[in-house]
Amino acid sequence: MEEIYVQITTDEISLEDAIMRVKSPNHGAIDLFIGVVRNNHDGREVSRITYDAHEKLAKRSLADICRKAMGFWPNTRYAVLHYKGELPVGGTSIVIAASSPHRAESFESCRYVIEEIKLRAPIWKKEHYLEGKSEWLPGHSLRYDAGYATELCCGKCCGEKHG
Amino acid sequence: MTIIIQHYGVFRNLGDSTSLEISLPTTISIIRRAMVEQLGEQHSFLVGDSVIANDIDILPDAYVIEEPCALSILPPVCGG
Repeated sequence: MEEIYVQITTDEISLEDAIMRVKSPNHGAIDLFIGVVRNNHDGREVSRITYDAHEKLAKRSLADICRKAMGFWPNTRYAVLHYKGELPVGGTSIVIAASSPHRAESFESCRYVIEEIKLRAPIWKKEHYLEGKSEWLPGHSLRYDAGYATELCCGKCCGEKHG
Repeated sequence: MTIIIQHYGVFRNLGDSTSLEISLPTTISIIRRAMVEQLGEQHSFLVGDSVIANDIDILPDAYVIEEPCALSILPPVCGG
């Protein structure tokens, strides 16, 4: 069984699938975060949300976030499934399952994963309002992430971190 | 050489992609400027706040592109 499972999917997200992927005989706790489409935002009535994603980079980003979580909370397992496409109010946009031997690590690591996803995963939301308009939501620029300037190499010099 | 930049998020309001005629080798910085010229100065802040990526990673402005490749522009993110 994989310790990290990530998926961008156009299918309905299965909670049972997420749970099964993190279950382990020596883990006594599974924390589950479920993101669902809310019917309002900033005083506007929302009818549905379209989720867009760069699938390859999003999967890589989700896996990277989970790996970092495993560094902070060793002996944890993760399943992250994010929806791509259009969802009505009440639809499930994301499920994160985090398991660990004891409950504290599950709670903390699951919270970490969702907060990092909101900052780093190349995924976007377009809200559709009952009034008939639609808008892409503003978000967090990947350009100013710590590490953008230093962790990536230009590809033509040392092949490692820039100073 | 034609370089196609795939759009995501709010850039989809401007179509599925931007096609740029650029001589290779080039850099992400040059591609960024060319996108603003093509899309219009009114989009300069959005382009500046976005990153350009290939299918593997986000590319820094100094990254040199020597061969045709698939690129994407990624505006600020808001998943979850």
